Amino acid sequence: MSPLSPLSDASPLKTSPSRKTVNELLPPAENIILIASGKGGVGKTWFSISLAHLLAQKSKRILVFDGDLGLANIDIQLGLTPESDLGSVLEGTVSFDDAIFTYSPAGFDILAGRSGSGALAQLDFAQLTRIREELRLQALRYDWVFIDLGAGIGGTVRSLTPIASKCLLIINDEPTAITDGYAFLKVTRRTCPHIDFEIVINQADSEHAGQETFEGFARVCERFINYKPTLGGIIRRDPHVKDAIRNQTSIVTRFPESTAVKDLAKISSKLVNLQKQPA
Amino acid sequence: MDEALKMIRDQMGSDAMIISTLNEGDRLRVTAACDKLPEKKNVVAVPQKPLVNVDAVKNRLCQIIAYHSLSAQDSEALITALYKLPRSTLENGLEGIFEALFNFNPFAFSKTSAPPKQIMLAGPVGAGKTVTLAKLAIELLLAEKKPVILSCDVLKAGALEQLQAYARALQVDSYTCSSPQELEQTLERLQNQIPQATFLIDTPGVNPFNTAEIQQLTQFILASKLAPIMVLPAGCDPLETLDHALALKDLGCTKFITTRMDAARRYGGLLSALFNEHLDLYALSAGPEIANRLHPGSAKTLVHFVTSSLPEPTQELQKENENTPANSFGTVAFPACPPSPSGFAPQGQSNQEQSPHNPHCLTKDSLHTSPTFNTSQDPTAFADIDPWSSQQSNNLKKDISVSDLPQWLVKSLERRA
Repeated sequence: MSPLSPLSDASPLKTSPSRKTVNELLPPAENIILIASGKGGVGKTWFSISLAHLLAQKSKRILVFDGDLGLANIDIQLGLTPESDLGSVLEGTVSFDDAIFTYSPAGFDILAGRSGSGALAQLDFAQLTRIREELRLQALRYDWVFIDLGAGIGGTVRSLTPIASKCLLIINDEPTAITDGYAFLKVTRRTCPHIDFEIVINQADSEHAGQETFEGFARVCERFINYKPTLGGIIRRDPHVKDAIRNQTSIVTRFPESTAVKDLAKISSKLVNLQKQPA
Repeated sequence: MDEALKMIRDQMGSDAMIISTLNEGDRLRVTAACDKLPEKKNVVAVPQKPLVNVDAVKNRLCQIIAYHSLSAQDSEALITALYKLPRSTLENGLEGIFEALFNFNPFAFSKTSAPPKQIMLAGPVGAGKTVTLAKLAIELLLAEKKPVILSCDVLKAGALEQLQAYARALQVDSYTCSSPQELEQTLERLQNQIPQATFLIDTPGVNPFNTAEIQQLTQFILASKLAPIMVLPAGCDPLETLDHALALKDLGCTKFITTRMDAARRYGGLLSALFNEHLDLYALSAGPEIANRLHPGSAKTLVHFVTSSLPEPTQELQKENENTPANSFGTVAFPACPPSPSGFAPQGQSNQEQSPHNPHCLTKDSLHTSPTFNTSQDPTAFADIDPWSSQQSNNLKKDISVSDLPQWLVKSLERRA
């Protein structure tokens, strides 16, 4: 079509610009870390809380966000009853800043979800995006923001992942945990190739057994999606973990000398060292 | 154990259930759960501050996006864009946000400024092009300009008759052009004859997915030498509207008129097309009768329409509004508007009572750039009528000399009264 000469008020012809995809518009935040597992019950929430506790002991500012929106349980694990949570923010009764509270025994901050809330389980994309963008803003005030993701690869999980730059994927040696963990990694790498995966082997029978689980997992990833995740750490099976959860207390408070805490400490030191290195 | 049960009942109410017990030597640890805690139990105290404006506005935009059923992709993109805006923009409320997210280019015909030389409308069949053309003619007449109607829609039964009826009623010259060549010749001839005229060109309704129809429309556009304004109805599926907008944009349309704003409640298609295709909102049309004036495509008008059918903001939000007269929320700005908003405040009250206090109230003056248009001075100010208000029609009988109006319009107004 030949170009038309603009005479007056009406506009001349122009072609439509190509639409930008959302990922192009959004740089991920360096200090937002996903805690994911694919399968439930592998220890995501326990891991998030305990790692946050250890880092808080090193005077790091940590925010743990309960990203399992419909079945939130960080508050249950710590024996808290928060007055405000994400539900209150989305209802419009409090602001995001005011819904965040400090878990005083450890000194890290929590933004709780709401257990058994149908409203939070089915958020629309506007609200999910709002949560994501608020977290991006909050991340400016913290050393790290941990997003404790729910199990699965649903809308909530997919909507929150693009802002993170790293994912700690928790698995154990059960075949279901390994396959679901692999599925999560594969799907997330496809939509967000910028995310670095570190695999944390939880409930390992021994250091050696954990290493073997990791090798097996990494081999599968390398072979099928040509990506080799790194080993984030191995946490040995420890009965103190269950005890702490049943007591609704952080394991770092209750059993600071336990093997699980010692193994966690290695992971936290790694994070701290990583932060010291210039990017 | 009995003692533990009593403690649980006292603290958590009678519905609490024990979910775990743990023997710790001389002590017994009992964990109980309940669905909802009784009031005033605070383990972690969180101060409940009132919301700052910015949070409320963000919540409101989420509400708008959900209500108008925008697609997941659009919702995400809009909220992402929202978070890229500076805080000062958010503090201006929804109107400021809309200004930043969408493009506006409202028509503004005034007695003192030169009108556009020509306006061509294009859009799908039944979008409301012909009625919109007539409404544009009224706006031009009110600004004391000279509209001339050209119709290219010679195929659809009744289309020509409809437009000619409007033209007769408004006492506006109208011409028929059955081919692109004829349009080009007629335009050239008339531009010489009546240099001060604004040519309003109606085109045949087009199926944007039919190549032959698009080609025919393209010929008309080339003959008119100017890009048309696209006319799309509100209330359609957002993705469908976006497809239509994209097809029309490929013909050069950058301005956008939306119709049927009165017969729709979900404006997702409008928002999606405006946002994704960066179209300039030119005008909004509500009501099939040409007595319902066009609304200029401003952020203020758009905010009003998209919030008028939403549930009220939460109480916290309203409290804040009470404290700040110049509130940032478009929702409470139209106290006198009926469900189908005309966007005009009731006559007589608008100028004196509302506009000085409420910046969101649409008055004649804020909508139109012809400040001298006052009912008392100008008998042709008939179009300032809110057809939803019976009081309005009474005012009409008293204040306006009906003899100055076209007969067709008078009859239409009398039927309403």
